[in-house]
Amino acid sequence: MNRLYTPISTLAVLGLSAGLLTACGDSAPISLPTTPVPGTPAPTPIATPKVRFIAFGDAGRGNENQNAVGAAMAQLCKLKGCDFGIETGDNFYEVGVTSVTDTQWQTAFELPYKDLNIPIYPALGNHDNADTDVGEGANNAKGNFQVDYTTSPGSSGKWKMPARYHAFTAPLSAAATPLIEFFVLDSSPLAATLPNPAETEYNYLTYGPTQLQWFQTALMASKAKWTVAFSHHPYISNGEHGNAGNFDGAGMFPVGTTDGQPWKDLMDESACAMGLDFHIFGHDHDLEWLKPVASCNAKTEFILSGAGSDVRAFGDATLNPAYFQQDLAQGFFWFEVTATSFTGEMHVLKDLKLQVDAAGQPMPMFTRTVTK
Amino acid sequence: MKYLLTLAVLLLPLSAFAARLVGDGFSIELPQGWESRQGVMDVPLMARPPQASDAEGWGQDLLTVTVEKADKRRTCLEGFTQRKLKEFAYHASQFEKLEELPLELQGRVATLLTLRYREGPRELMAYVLILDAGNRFLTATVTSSPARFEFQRAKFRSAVESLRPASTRSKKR
Repeated sequence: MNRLYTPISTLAVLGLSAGLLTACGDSAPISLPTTPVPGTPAPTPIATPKVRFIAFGDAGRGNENQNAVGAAMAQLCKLKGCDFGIETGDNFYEVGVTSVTDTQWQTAFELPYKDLNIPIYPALGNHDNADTDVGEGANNAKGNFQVDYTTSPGSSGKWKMPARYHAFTAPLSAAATPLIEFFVLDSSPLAATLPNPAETEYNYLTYGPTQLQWFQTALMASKAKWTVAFSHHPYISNGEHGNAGNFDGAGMFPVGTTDGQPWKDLMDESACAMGLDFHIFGHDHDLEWLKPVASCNAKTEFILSGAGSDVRAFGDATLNPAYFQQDLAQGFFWFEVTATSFTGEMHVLKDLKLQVDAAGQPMPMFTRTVTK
Repeated sequence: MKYLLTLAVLLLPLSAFAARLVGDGFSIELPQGWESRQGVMDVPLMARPPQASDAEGWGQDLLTVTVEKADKRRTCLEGFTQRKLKEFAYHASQFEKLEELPLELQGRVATLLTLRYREGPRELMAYVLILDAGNRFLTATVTSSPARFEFQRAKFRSAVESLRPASTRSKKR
């Protein structure tokens, strides 16, 4: 996305208000001239560097529900500002896309988010790598089409998946000091429900360690104020799939990746061992902001945003302590981050509409701020 | 003095390697000072340089060992090697097999592959040593960035070629 970085003094000379900058969601630090230009208004205070983004997931159905969430996110971003979005996987149901020209690029991405004019950074989910409706995750080639779409001539340019796993910093302007570093993880090969886990074609035994090594190294080297990992699969969840290591109750009969134990191991050795700030994920089709748990450094906060289209009831709503959680309703999260605060708002749709007050202002169902 | 000098010269090639590490179904000699973990993510062995003394190596160099059962009525070393190549390519892009060498290690047949591929944001080179251990295949893989790999080829190759079968234990999970 080409974003406007116009010095405030220039805007003042042009007679434009500084409010324009915040309305477009710009997050770059702004320098003011030390000597005011004669005849110009008094300098506006230096803007605090700020990043705003939305998180949504499990969305890719190309149906009325997805379109409604897309419209609600566009409405909210217009009112409050968004620099970019993150999508927590299962971007295309039930079995991913088969090329960079698959019709689902239009029906389940470009059209539902046509009014959302910001970059979207997606993670891959089990349905993105699947050959069957259960989303077994046995066809990584389909996920690779999603990587390829990033540079495809047919793309609107919003889709940003340069690799199956990667990192980026925000503000997105390379010149700005990073406030947040995002680590986009590929959880599916470590949590797939494969028909034959012993089949070496799907073997995660090398991919797991190399991804772990990359994540640990990148996390260790991060200079950002806040660190956020996002993936499709949870570490903990009160939704139908449950916690990693016992996904869908498979922990009693552990075979290969089905119970998600390899994915849990990756998180334990990296995010949990090294004190990640936030893990945002999907897989379960609801909204949760879960409290830190002792098994993961008692600091990392877990945010589930998987209500981007069709939704489900909780599996066990008391499995993990939550600050707030909502099932059976479409929704998404909006975040505003500064050097000292990380605020998240859970927006739950009512009758497939963004909830607003009498003045037309968005009404989040839940808000939480974490400070440093 | 002359005797000590001779002894030092004789021991020099060995000094780059630590004692033989014995795992579940395999043994291997790791490069000196490398630290190892067993069983994380179901991987029998993961090893790399220590973070405290070699942060760059910790972030780039990685050795893994896997032990996989084989039905020898159906699978030979050549067939298993093809499956391994397919597995690496499955998770990678820009995948290239640079070399495939047949080896014999203490009477057991093995294949040494040299690979180059992209995984996630990284370009990697790898030695993959596949050893026929009777009813199972052992695989030692060492990966690093191309630059570090070229610089450490001898050390990496010695490590993977030290892979040997050992007795197996019962499955943990």
